[in-house]
Amino acid sequence: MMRIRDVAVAFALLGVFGQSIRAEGDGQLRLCLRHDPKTFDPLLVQEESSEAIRYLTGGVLVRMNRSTQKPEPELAASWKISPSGRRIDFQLRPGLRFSDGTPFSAEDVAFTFRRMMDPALRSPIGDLFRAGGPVQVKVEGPAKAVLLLPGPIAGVERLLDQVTIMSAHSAQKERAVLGPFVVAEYKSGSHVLLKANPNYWKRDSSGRKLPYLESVRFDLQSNRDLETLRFRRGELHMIHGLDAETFESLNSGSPQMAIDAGPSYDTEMLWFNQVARAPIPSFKKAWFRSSAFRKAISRALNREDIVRLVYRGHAQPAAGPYSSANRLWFNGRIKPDSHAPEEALRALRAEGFRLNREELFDVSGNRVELSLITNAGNKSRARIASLIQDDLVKLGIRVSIVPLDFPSLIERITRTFSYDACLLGLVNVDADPNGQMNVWLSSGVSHQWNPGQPAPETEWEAEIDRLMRSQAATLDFAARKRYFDRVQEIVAREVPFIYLVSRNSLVAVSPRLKGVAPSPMFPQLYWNAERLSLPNTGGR
Amino acid sequence: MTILRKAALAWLLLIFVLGLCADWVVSSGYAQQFREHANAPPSHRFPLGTDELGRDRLARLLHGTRVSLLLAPAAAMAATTIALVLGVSAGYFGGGFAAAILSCTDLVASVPWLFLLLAVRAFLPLDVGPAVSVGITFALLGLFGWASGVRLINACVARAKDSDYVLQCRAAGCSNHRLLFVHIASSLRPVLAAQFWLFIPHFLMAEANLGVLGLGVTEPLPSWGNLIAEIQNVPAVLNAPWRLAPALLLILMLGGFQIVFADKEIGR
Amino acid sequence: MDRGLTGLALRTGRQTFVFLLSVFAAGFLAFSLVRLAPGFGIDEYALDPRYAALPGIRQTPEPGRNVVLAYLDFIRRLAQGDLGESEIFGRPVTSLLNERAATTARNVAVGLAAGSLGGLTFALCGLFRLAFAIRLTASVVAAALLCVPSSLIAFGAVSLRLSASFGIAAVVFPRIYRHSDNLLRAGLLRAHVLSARARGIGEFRIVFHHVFRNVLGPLLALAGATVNLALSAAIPMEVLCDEAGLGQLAWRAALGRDSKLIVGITLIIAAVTLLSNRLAELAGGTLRGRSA
Repeated sequence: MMRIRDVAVAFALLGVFGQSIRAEGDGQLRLCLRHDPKTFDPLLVQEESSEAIRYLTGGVLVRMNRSTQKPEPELAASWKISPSGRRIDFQLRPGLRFSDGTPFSAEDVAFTFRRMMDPALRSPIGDLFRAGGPVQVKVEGPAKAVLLLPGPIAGVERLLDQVTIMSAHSAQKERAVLGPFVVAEYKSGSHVLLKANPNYWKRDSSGRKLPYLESVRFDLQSNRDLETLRFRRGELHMIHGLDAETFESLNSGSPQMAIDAGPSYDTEMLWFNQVARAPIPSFKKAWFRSSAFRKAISRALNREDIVRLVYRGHAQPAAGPYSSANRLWFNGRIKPDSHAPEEALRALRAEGFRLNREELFDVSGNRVELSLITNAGNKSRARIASLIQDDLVKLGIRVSIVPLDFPSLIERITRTFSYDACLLGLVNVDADPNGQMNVWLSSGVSHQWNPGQPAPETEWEAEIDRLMRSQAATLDFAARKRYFDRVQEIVAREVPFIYLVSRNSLVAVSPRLKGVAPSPMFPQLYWNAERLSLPNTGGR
Repeated sequence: MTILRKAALAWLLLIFVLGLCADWVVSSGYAQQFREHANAPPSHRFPLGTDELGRDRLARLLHGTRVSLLLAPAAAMAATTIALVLGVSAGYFGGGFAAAILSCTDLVASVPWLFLLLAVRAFLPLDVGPAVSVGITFALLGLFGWASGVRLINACVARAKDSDYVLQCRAAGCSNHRLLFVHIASSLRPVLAAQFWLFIPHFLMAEANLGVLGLGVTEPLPSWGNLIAEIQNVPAVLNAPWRLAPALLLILMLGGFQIVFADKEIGR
Repeated sequence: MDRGLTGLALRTGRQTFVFLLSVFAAGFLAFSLVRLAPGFGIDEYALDPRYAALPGIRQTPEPGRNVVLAYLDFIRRLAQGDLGESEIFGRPVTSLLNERAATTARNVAVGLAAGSLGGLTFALCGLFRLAFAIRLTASVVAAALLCVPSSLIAFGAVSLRLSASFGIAAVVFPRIYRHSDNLLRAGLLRAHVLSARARGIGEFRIVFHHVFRNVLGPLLALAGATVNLALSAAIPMEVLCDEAGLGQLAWRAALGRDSKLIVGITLIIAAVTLLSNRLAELAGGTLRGRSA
């Protein structure tokens, strides 16, 4: 009797707790975004969620092909950059319409650039253009627009890839778009629904209107375990950036869904605090400012073990800022430091360090111990930190690992500089070194080991400054590549960043979804969203 | 049911002694990485297998016991005591005094103390030793975790104050202090036992969560909290059920505490 | 008559004043704690090299010099029904709270009801003589629920296609069960119960008439205190189950150090906690008054 009642209660509880699960619509691509998009205004985008929406809804003059990594005509049927690099002539596609039916013309291009360059708007993408001075657009007929730049911008196409053209006349403002999808619904914390743009201009080779998909539903989900669970259930069609453990477990169950798409742009790295005014003891600053010390640490670390134990083989030891995924800028001549603890110790001894009962002391007798901060909640990074800790114990160095929540971490590395060493992954979204000016210029705010220097404090930083400025000032790719190769060589010699590994892009894609071609560039899995399709398998 | 109690006590003692003598019980250290044997299943050499970095799970569990079994009950005791003092004084004196104490309790329960913990972390030097860090963490847990018990204790005292036997004691000329600390306090035993029992796992889990903020036990030192946190990865646990060992041990330990501290009539 | 009414009005007025004072004190504490915490005024995207240097992005509000004045200003605006604009969402705090309150209210109500009823039912069933198996099962389940991380409970909830309310119930259940079991069990040993037993009164009557009614006061206090517990449990559960409620909002606000949003949520939590405890107190008082 009791048992029957228990079962009844259990069912009643299930009924009360139960959520309604929406049935999966045909032609609807379902995937997750980590956070709410902060803005739907394409010119104000500054984080990944908004960027994803912008990519799928916005029309741009020139699009970087994520597969070939080369620029392709989009709203501009063709474009021509003058030899001085200061004038770009766009020939626009005729007869296009925004999603609300408003016709598209050169006036919209002029309006977009005018709005973007308005200082009151504070557009991040506008600021990237503004660096050299004012930017103007001249309208020379309905299908002809001319962009006048204050100076040449190397790789200007990758910037144009981010300028979403807005309508000068539409009453819907930013909701009127030229991209394959339009924002149909947004519920904060829950989902963003995009519907196919009825006025989208692109057609496939057989003349069929694109996009194939009827809609895209982004669920706002930050919990990766749940994302995987929902993918396994068939409620989601794709996941990007799986960790190795999840990937392996998916792979063992259904290998056709789990794809190792090869090297990604993301690298994990470690750096020491070299800021002169940092509130840390001066003997520590002396260690951190010695390139021999940094190089010795780099050689003491076992990158192969990180690849094997943390990434289960789905990563490569890293040597520099760009992995081999970046076909244009990767410098293949630089090899990762191999694991050589004895040599590392020898190098440290040559610098005056000595090992006494398995403890390392510096020239003035200070015990070598340091703290390693990293962001909390990242399992892979926590394991890397433990491996580093163990590798360095063998040199007699005591490392305390301190995970911090993100705002605390950022405060330490950008404001208070109260830390010894930091382990992080670099956000490497931009394929071009111009996107990393802030990292390499000694005055840059993202020059993490010693940001915002009024004048370069070391010879080699001064040289990097010169090389970075030279590569930005020329449009000749070969010359730029030469300059940036040299930068990478200096970095490999001076090791301001100790590059550890670059991880592979591990993704899961539903077998129902056709046309997926993972790319290392953002948005890795749905960059060709207009050509993705969910053919009816007939099973439903 | 004294046999059950004795068995439970013996069981708790056994865990405690094993934790203290961890160095002799297992040969490998808790931080030692056998990188060639990562994720190994249980074997003669590693009775509970190894973790992702090749560390002996049994060694980690036993060493974790030392930290957790000492500090979690201590913090639970501190929190229970604070709740007892506040609850009893509010219940006994009543009136405006009680209202003030209970309002403060609600205040403590509603304020996001997370930020205080973050500030504490920012205030501590980064290379603070693991013992200090974990000590501070449990002290903070004990200091701010008491709010949930006060109202219940207060209600029990208010009920006891009106009860027949307290009236009889008063009639017999029992002093206020004696009444408060001997008669009423002893009637609170079931509530306190339950509260203590609930605090232990709560604090152990909280310690693991605070590890994420750089407080609490830091690598490579193990604690039950961070060992149990490993079972979050459900597919991995299904493939390697021995990962559940820390959680099972904690459940059994709580069972032991329940039997030892609960009323004598446990088996009725 | 008049004097009685004035007295009542005075009492109500005083209580309302204490209530408002406590709620605003909680808000003030939250406000100052956020401002003291490391990372306040730090931009979340400061590490993205593309945007890090941009003047528009770097202009983050400097921590206010005077927390008290800033909070007073906040309260002045609050009096006009304006909680300010959330820094991370760029939207008015009131609209964010409105949008999400329903989800959390539902989660907390369902979780609280299910957890409390479950806990109490098991504790009551366990009192009967032949219910050793029920008692054992409930004890083990309660211990197990306390010993697994919230994320695992949340994972279980989502696996079973249940909402965050299930997770809240799983948090509430062991606490209610353990407390009510101990209270009821202690009640069984009271003199009047023993004498009732000796008089041969049926077990059912003993449990409900003598034991249960006797501990109703502490149980009500427990119920009042559990509302706060359920509200706090909503934070990890909604985050882990990814449900768009106040809990999830609170977590985002904490990570983004969004002071206005945090104060808004703290005001709600404090108000609900104080109200539920006050109601439990009143109910307990009425009960005592009736039995006296």
